[in-house]
Amino acid sequence: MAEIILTLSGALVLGSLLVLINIFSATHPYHKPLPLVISSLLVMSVGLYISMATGPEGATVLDSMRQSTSLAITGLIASSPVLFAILTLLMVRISFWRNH
Amino acid sequence: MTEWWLQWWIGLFMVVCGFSMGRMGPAFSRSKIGYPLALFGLALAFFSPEGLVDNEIMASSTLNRTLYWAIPGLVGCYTLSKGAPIYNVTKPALLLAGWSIVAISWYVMLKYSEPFTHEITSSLVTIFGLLIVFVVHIMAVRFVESRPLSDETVEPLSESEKTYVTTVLSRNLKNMEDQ
Repeated sequence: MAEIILTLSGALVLGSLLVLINIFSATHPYHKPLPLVISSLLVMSVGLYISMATGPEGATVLDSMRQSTSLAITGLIASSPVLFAILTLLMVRISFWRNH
Repeated sequence: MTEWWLQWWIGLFMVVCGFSMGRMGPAFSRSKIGYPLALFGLALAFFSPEGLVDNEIMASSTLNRTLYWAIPGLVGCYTLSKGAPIYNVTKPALLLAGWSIVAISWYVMLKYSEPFTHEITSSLVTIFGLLIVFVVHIMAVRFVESRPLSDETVEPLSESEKTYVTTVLSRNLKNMEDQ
């Protein structure tokens, strides 16, 4: 059960990091990033709090973040065969599709 | 304690950063360094350094095992999308090449990667967590979009933008005249 909660908290941190990196690397003059940054930081804080509470005692914030986020990365990568299966089915469809 | 574990994380961040930069902006002025940066980041993450903790080692080995079949798989799908019929014009050579690469990718995955042995719960929980972040992000975007617009005057087009718009319009008008 602890590992599931740790994975969930890692997913929250990972998702928030993805949003934050995207905001900073794809920023442009017409962007209004502040509310998006604040909401992402809030979600990340919740994830970090949960991972600190669930993880081993005495672990630093950085250690908890590393442990939980890498669990989430493993979970995400492990689902890639299913995504590839869906992609293959889509490829079957477009390969033999005819536009009438 | 060695700090080389940072290489793995920086590599992953560079993948996301490069992809974001590569997709940013209109098609004619996207960042040229986006995708090379993502590839460089992938290489940094692939050659995992010392100093990773248990879960990071597991994530790193899962990533490496996935890359062996995912890269040819994506190349195969890209080839298939180029060879697929558009306006009933098919490119059979590209389709054949694409399906061959996709088949090799499936073979490598099933033979060496043990794809469906990982516990499904952690994948589902991860996707659920990412969905939560996505919903919060959408709500934040809706909030930003619902705010009243400022009274600032929008700057006129620059000379290069004017030239681009003129070129596109004249090209399209010429096509219409030809038809």
